[in-house]
Amino acid sequence: MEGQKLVCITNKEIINDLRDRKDIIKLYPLKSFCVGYELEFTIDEIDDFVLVNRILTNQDLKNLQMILTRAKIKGIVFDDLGVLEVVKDLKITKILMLNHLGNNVISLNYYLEYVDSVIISTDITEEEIAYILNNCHKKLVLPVFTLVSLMYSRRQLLTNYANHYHLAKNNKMRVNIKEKYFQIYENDYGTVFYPQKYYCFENYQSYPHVLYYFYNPIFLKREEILKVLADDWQDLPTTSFLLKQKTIYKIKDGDLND
Amino acid sequence: MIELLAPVGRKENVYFALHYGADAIYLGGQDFSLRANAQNFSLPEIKETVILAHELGKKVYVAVNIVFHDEDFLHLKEYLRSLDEIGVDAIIASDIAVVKLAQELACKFAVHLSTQASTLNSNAVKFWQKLGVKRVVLAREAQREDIIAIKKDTGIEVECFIHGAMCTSFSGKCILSNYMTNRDSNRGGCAQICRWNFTNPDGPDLTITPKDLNMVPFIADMIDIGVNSFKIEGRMRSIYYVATVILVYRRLIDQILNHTLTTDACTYYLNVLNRCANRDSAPQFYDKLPTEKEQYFITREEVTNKDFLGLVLDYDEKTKLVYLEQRNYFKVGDEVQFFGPNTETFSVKITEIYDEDKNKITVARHPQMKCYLKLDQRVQKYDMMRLKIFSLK
Repeated sequence: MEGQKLVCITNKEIINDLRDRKDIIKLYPLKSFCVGYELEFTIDEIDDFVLVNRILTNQDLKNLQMILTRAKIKGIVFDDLGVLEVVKDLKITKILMLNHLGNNVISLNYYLEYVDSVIISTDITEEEIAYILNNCHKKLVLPVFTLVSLMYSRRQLLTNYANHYHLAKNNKMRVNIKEKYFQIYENDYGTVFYPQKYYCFENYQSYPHVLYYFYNPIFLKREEILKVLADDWQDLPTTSFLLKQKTIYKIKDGDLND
Repeated sequence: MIELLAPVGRKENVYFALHYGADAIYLGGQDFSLRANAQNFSLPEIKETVILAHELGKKVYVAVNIVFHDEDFLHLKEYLRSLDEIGVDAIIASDIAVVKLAQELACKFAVHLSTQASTLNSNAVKFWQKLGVKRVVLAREAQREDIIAIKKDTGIEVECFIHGAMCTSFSGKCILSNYMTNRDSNRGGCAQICRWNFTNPDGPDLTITPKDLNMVPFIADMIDIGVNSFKIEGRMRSIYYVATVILVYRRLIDQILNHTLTTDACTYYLNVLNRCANRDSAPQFYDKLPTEKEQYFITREEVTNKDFLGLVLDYDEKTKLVYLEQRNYFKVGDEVQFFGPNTETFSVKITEIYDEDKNKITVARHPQMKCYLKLDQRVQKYDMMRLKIFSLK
């Protein structure tokens, strides 16, 4: 059903609340195949969509293929193009999450030849999103509320930090550079840097050609998630991120000291 | 094919990369390349570079590896056609739109998949192979078994980074720069936020900067498992860095292939490389996952060393005088080393210095001043003189 909310399950308590909601597709981070999530699920616990959001090796793909043989999933959201071959014969919805690499219509249309949909990048402006939605050959998944992955590393940066300073290891950390704040989360695979504020596309209902609306309420409590799903995010730290601000890349001489 | 691939960020570096032992060089044009703030190359300069490289039997690859936004496509088609006419040997691309466009235009150059695509498995490689990609620059996170599997399953040409700075993140998966400074890392504006200090209110500052990559201990093994191209990072680097690093790896690879590499030579090469970059280095992901030992934990005071003393402009066999352009302060009595593509590295003590008018002086203190040194051993134009720090036993 189009126009549903694709909601990443980031808090176990929310599952019951969402069980009978027809407007919601549940997206479960798959254990050992994700990075940046506190909560991950085994394939046997997943009855809806599965998330595989990291780069995979040949061995990872073999493991994934084996796991998916017993899966009762309805769809998959993935980052690594290697997954395409693994899921090609499965009759499930296939959604590519390009993690910063699909920022234009031409590229997205090529990728759409292989999948049912693509999650639109959070690195682009609202104008660019509108252009993409109007010009892609298939309906896309539009991020509405998410913590943007600012980077992810194969390194266990918090473990390394704890080891170096002989501190107790913690999987989460909040740090800042001046007024910019970061939340860091490490699992067995690697480390993700998130901003403090949630990307929030308040205007999302103005746009047609959307397959699903994507919600990724990482680190939020049950009550907060329920409010977010009702589009009530006033009490949460949100940002329009790059929706209203184009990035620059050719730096004038005077800008090089920043 | 074993290829040593060198970075060139500006015209000056081309000569040094090619003559100091690179089999191929990679560079960026003035658009569409991930080092938007390097000097980069205009189309006429790319043409000139291709002619020079081809005369030497070497190759030129052009990075067209930004992640395109819709506004960036203007002139891309004309640009690819121009590169094709110029005769570049390959482009390095990460965006599927560029890969497909090159295919549609039936360009004669090869398409290499950029490390920005973070490729680590055979399925992904096959996906790109079907689109005409001839070579894949693997993610820097690739481990030995990943490379073996990809070579075995796909037969594709594999290019691996072997030396230089590392991103903390998977390449192409980082927008720290966009968040902090609004500078687009995936379009060439990276502000290198991973090299900044993060304040932790509950403990010491967090730093996440990796040490540089250095694959000296594993080059022989990489050759054995079928890596085709050995890539040096550093399009923003100086001629001294490019010359030193390329020459070290040239000699290392040749000695491996000739079975003449010694442990002492390996140690010497490591010392020279670390000193040249002013940074510690490590093999990083190839044989294990990196730990805290492969990272920095304080803000490094990057004090540029003054090792590069002079560039040889000429040598007179009769007078035994070498004509030099000074690059850093040196004086009579200094122990120095000369090295060059056709000059075995040797050490010597400076005994006599003369200014341009052949007046005897004791120090060369002015940047880029020209001077003469008395030197019995023959050197060649564009050899370099550095401070003697290490010597090969």
